[in-house]
Amino acid sequence: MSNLILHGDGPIAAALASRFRAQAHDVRMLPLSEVVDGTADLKAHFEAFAASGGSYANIYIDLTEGFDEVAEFQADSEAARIALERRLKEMLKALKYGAQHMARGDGGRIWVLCYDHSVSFSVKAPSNPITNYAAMAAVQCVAKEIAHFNVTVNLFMIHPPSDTVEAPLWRQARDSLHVYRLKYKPQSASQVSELLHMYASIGQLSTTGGVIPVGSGIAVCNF
Amino acid sequence: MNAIIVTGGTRGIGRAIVDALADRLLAKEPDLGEARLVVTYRSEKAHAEALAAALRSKGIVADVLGMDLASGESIDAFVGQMRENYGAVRALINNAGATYDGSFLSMSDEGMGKLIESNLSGTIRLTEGLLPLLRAANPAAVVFIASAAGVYGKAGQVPYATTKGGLIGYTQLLARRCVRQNIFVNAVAPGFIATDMVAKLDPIMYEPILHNAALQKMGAPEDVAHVVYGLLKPGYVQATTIKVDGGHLR
Repeated sequence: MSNLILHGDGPIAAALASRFRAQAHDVRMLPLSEVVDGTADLKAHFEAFAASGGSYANIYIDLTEGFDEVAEFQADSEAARIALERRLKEMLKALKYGAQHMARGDGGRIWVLCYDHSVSFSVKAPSNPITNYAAMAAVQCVAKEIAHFNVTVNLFMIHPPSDTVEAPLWRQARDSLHVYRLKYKPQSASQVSELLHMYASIGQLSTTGGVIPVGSGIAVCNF
Repeated sequence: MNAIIVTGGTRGIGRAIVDALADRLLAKEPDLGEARLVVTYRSEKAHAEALAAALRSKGIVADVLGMDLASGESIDAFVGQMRENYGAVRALINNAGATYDGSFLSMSDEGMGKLIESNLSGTIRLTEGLLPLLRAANPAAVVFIASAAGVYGKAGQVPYATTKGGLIGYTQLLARRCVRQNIFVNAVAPGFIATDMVAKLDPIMYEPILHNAALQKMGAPEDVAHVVYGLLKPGYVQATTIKVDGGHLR
């Protein structure tokens, strides 16, 4: 089974890749081209992979790491806007070429990974509400269009893993939420990757167009 | 003098918003204060002239100006004009937007990219450019006209919904940045509204969707305008997106 992780620079992608490799599954990592340096060409990659007889079972578009919209807009709104524009163009291209690749084969699963932007109100973590809502809308639309090709697309809205946030900040966040009887229970990237891997392992996946919250406590998608 | 800006205000939902505001300005609604309407259009000068004439006949003096969200120069020129002519912007209603619909798998990268540049990035560029004038109004309101497609998705509208979802996210981001600045930032997400754009569609495109709405009918542009006007008043509504979609049950 071949799996592709796009822009997988963060700890969740690394942990997920380890799980696939531990099962002797093929994992390839590619940048989301313009987000990084404009050198990668997703379309060409999919064409070359298919020409060699390859077919991806899972494609992950990782939008968790490498940017922080709230901080970027605060610092330099013009640079932030340009970066956002590039990121969303690349996300749509990745969805399109990934879906085309799977539709021409036996189908497959596309997963978009985002950090829950609401967590940043409690701990210092990247907050990307524009990309997140754009990605949620895109996923919900694309899913409706490609379900009949046996291609599913879902989005995980993930609390930043414990490894990426200093422990005292989690404690502070947990304590400040005490009044609601809801507490953050920070999860490691490894734990999060276990859940993602479980979804990839489901034989008959019965969800598409879904926004799946991952995290304990208050999450942006669970009300 | 304060300005109240409505982008893409010569037709459809934008026109209904302009008409509602004109009526309230004529009635000297205290919530709006002394302000002058500024309406933008992209290319259809005839519609712009018709609007200006209609407003004049009501006794409203308004600026009806060309501005294209797809052009950074056009946006910057408009912002420059506003800075030159007005001391503050009491309200900015970001209504202008384009579509690029069709089968996602056969769309061009260029077409998708252009829609992101205009609908989302252009709207952000305009809003960021006007922020100093919005801060000066105290209070001020920013309303983004998003879309139900940006909330729960719609087949055939991937890039459009992506840009509208992005605006919903920017609504939250901007509200967070404007904390304690007395700027109220919200979005409205219309469902199927009886505009020229929808009139061109085959009913088979929307009838099954209307059937899924609690009210089981199409909305009117005035329904959206009514909600937008409510969001211009200072209050406790902030960073949210209000659906005006007849109660879609999914």
